[in-house]
This record gives sequence, structure tokens and C-alpha cells, in this order.
Amino acid sequence: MKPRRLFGALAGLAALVLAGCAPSLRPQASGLDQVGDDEVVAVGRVYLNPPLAKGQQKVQWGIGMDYFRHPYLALGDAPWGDRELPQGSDLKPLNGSVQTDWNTWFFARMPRKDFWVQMLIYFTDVTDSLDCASCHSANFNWQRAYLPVEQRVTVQPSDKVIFIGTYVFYRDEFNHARGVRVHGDLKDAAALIQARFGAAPVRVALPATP
Amino acid sequence: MDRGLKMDRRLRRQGLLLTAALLGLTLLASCAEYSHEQLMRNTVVFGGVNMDDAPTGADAVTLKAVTGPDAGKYWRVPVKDGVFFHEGLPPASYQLWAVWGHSGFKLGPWIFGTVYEYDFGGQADGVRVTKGGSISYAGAFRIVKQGGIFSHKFSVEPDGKRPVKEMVQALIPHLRDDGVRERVARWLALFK
Repeated sequence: MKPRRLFGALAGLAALVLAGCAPSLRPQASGLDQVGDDEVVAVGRVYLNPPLAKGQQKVQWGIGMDYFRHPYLALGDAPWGDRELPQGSDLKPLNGSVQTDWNTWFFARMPRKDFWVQMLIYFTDVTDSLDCASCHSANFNWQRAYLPVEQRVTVQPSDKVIFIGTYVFYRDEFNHARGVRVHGDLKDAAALIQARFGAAPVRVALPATP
Repeated sequence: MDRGLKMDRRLRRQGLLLTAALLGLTLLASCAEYSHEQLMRNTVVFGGVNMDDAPTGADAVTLKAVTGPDAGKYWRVPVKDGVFFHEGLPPASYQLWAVWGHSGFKLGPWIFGTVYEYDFGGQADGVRVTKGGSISYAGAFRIVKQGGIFSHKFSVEPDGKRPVKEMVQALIPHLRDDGVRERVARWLALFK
């Protein structure tokens, strides 16, 4: 990592720690040896349509780092429902989410039980604002978008690796949700799954509520 | 109400020089970027902001271009008589980003107090300027106090109380008198 990027990463991490809200993200597995007896690996990816164009995600150098450039797929034991979606420095919905990259397969370790895909989260503006040069303390502006989905994924007792598909989130230029489609394109991920998990059986577990 | 409109108050303390620079930017924002010819080709954008429940008045509103060649650029536009406006933005989509106000007192361009930022949130509404030489309404909003005494939370919510016609009437005296004002006045005449 280049020194400049490392500094940015450390600064961003320090900001999270100082804010007392560093989320606990869903761990990922690169092999079966990392998967517990009571866990399954959920394989999926997220795609934004239209993708973020130039200027639609602004992460100021020094505080944003890579952390804020990632999309997050929130996974939980229950649908998010009508709970309030926090703004400001509260990153609650990120707890238990998968930190991923656009259109890139993730391999999330999950407890072996049904779970819900709750929402996609991504940051739109992460700045200390142009007037914060003389702030008394770090005062970051973390604006983000939540695109809800709330779909249930069923897990069977014999599952070790499940394929939950490609989640395509549709939006407008103001990041208003315009629907979600899930594609069961297992063949696109097959080679990567085999490389990580060998001959382990993979079950397609697309959401029960399309 | 869009979930993205939820936000919390952001408090900014800043030095005098910086405040003056910001105010200067605010005052110039509506006219510094484009020549008269360009302004006439562009579109007047305006909207309302109601600060009755806020601890401050409104000095400026920030719009963020999210499409077009200027995507990612922020426009700080002034607020006069509860109306924010830009006299000529080129066709693109502009997302509402923040309302700015201040406490304390102001002496000329200097603020002796605290500057407040009220964020619209990452999924705020915006205005789509689809053609030049026109007028676009960005909506009306109000600052709503939430939370307890110590939580200092506010939200920006849609406000349907003030008629658009009244906002246009308040806006007209503040527009430059070289074609822009006439254009808006002609538009106002269409209201019954």
C-alpha cells in the first residue's frame, strides 16, 4: 500500500474509532477450513444500475479511504422493517453486512440458518466539508444511500456453500430505489467457488420472495 | 417522506476569515459562474426553505450536480426571504445537499457565532433541469426539530405550506434586472 493511501486508511479508521461506531462486518471465507461447523458460505454479488457516475460518490481524500468507497449488503436475522435508517455518524445498519465491491463475488460466512438480505448501503458524500478546516474536532459528513430489498434466503441443515445470486439494484440519479432483481447466474461464479471450496456441493438459494 | 431526508444537525465552528470567505462565495454563487448570455441560455432554479423551527435563519442552500458535465460540483446558492435560487443553471440534475445558517450576529460579512449545516441526506430529492431558458422549481422544505434538549437533532422535510406563487413574488426583487427577472415575471403572470 502506498504511504498516501495508508495514511488515508489510518485516518479513516481513526475517524470511525473516535466516533465509537466502527461496525462489525460479516467475515468472508477463502477456503472451507475457515468455515465453522455451524456456518455456511453465502456467495453473491451486487450491481448498481445505473452505476455510480463521475461525481456521484465523493469521498474526500484523507478521511474516506477505501472503506467508504465500498458498497455494503446488509444481512440479518430479520427484515429491517420500519426501523429508522440512521444518518450522521451512526453506522448501525452496517453491522453484520458484507463489505464488497461492485459486481465482485463475495463469500460471506453466515450462521447456518435462514437470513434476510435487508438492503444495499453505499456512501454518496464523505467529507469534512469545505469549512471544517478550523473545526474544533473531526466532524465528518457521511451521507449514504439505502436501497431496501428485504428478501429471505432459506438455509438447509446440509448446506455448506449456498449461491444467493447477483442482486441488481435499480436507482435514479438521486439514489432513490427503483427496484431489485436477483439473477441466478451461478455459472459466472462457478470457477471462483471451485477454486476456493473445491468440490464442496453448492446449492442455489435464491430468495423466496422475488 | 424520503428516508434519506433524515439527518442530524451538523455544527461548525469556524474562524472569522473562513466565515467571510464562505459568505462571499454564497453571495457570488448565483452570478459568478456564468456570463449574461450563458445565464439566459440556462434555467432559473428556485425553492423554499422554512426555518421557523430552526435555531438559525438560512444563509445558503447547497445543490449538488449529479448528472451532466458538472457532476460532483456543489453550488452554494443564496436564500432571500425564504427562497433559495440560482439565476441560471445548465440542464442537469441537481440534488439538494444542505441548508446553511448561523447563530450569533453578523457584522457585514463577518459572523460572530456558529455556522450550522442541515443536511438533506444522501437520498434527498432534487430538481431535474431538462431544458435551458426556463424555470425549475426544486420544492419547498422546512427544518423540523427532533430529539431531546441534548440530542440536537433536526430533519429537513417537505413543506407544502407556502404557495409557489408567493415564493416567486418574494424571489423577483432579488433577481438581476437584465432579462432574468423579466423571464420569471412572465412566468409569474401565468399563475392565477
